[in-house]
Amino acid sequence: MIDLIKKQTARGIFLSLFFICLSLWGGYASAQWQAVSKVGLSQTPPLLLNNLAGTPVNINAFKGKVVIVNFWASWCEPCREEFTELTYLQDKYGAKGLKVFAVNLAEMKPRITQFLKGNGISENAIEILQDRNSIIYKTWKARGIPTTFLINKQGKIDSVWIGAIDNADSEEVSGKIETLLRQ
Amino acid sequence: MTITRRSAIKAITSAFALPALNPITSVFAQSSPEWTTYEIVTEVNLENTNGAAEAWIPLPLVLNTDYFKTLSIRPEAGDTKVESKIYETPDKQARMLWTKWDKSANAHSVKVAMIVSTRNRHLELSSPNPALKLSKEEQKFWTRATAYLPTDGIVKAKAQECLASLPANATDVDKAKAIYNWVVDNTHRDPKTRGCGQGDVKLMLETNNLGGKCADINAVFVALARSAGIAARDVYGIRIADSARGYKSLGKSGEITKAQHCRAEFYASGYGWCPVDPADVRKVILEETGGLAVTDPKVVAIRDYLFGNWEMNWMAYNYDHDIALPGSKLGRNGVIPFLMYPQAESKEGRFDSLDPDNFKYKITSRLIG
Repeated sequence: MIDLIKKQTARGIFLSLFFICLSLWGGYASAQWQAVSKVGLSQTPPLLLNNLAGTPVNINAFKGKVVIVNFWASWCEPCREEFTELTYLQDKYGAKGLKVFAVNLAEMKPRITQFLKGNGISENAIEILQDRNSIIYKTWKARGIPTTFLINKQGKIDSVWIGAIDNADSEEVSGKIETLLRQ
Repeated sequence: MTITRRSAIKAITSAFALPALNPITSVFAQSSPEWTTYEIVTEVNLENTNGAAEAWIPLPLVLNTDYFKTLSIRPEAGDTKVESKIYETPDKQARMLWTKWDKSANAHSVKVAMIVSTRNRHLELSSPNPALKLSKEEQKFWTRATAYLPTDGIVKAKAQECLASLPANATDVDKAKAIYNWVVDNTHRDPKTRGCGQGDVKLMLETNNLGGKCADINAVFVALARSAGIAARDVYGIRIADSARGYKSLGKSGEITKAQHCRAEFYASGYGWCPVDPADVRKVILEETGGLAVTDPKVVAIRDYLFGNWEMNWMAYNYDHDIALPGSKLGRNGVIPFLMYPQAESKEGRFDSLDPDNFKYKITSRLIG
């Protein structure tokens, strides 16, 4: 019996962190883009998920664009506050080649649409992908939400933002995106 | 295979090898005045689901104790395209009703009624029983590290800090009390924590953010106790009745869908498993009559009570961690840290177990004797 338990507990690393908003761990969070090595990634993990319409979306199809991948959930207060910053970035830079994906963690569609409707946000404001099983979240090695990855036109992760982006107009945020868009 | 609804139910019930399915009259015959009997019903209805799906509903403790007995487990499925059985985890620390609907299913509902008896727990320190001690294997098991309950590094250091002022001959009870006091004094209940929290003790200590709910706060107690060599465990469960002790925040009856609550135990040689619940002390401080000071007599009283006592207006589910749901298409990617909420999967993936309104599930409780 004990041996069986040992085997199980050794595998029990995941799932729970998506319950943790990054507001909890200020010790790790700093409001800036950081090297992706901060989360232990060396290359861009795969990302293939359905959007709210049920259509599969593969991030590989967006090479040539600058891509933002943001992990969020409607129950996460910093995520909710950040959402309008992300829609603003999509509006501002979409025509210049920015694509924002908001990857929802484990929630069901009615809860997501309820959040959008309750906040007056169009379902098309940014593309929402559903990570129902949190597998993408784990493979991207985020340790909490919100976490945002910035990917260059070559499809390589440039940097990661741990915590909420609270001012999309700041030089730290927009400047970095504009630099990648020019490349 | 196509079967009638009647035969489906028969197939389900015949699959269980439980001392269960007792008629209510038999239940009452087993009761004594100090025991109280409840019926808890969990109903799962996976709306807007087509085809194959699976659900896992937590069931009461595998083994009866001197404070909790399972008298009956009666499942009923609402579709003929269904197969249900009771599944016990390999370590037998948890069990669940595992239901599978095949691809032709057009309704996905299952209900399980559980009849349990409980009586209040009280740690009596005046009469130790030398026979009550754990084997070496049990001691090792209940002091082990898990994914979220490490027993080294910052956790061990914090445990040593808690015990620093104790004499060398301090007993298990003395040590557990010191840890209990540290947890009560240094954690807080965070109402924004989703569900009951997750109990990632290392993360909590590393970030010095000791806010959370029961699965966080009581996990801190368990991890610190284990680090100090004291056998300890989380006990996951659900509130099933109002508190008779005058604490509105510590009970729930009727509709209990969101009343999940985990507690903790430590093992003291001579006394056996001892109940504690530091998380509920913090709940009283935050919620009772709009919030109370730590020096309020109501807080002082519950703080004293919840070291060594449990009011048993609560049903225990299990002790397990890092649970692989049987049959899950997610395999090891679908392991859950603990089982306290119904779980389900369809071809679209895992359902959000903390969203009963969209899942959907409903849990009710009623006093029956």
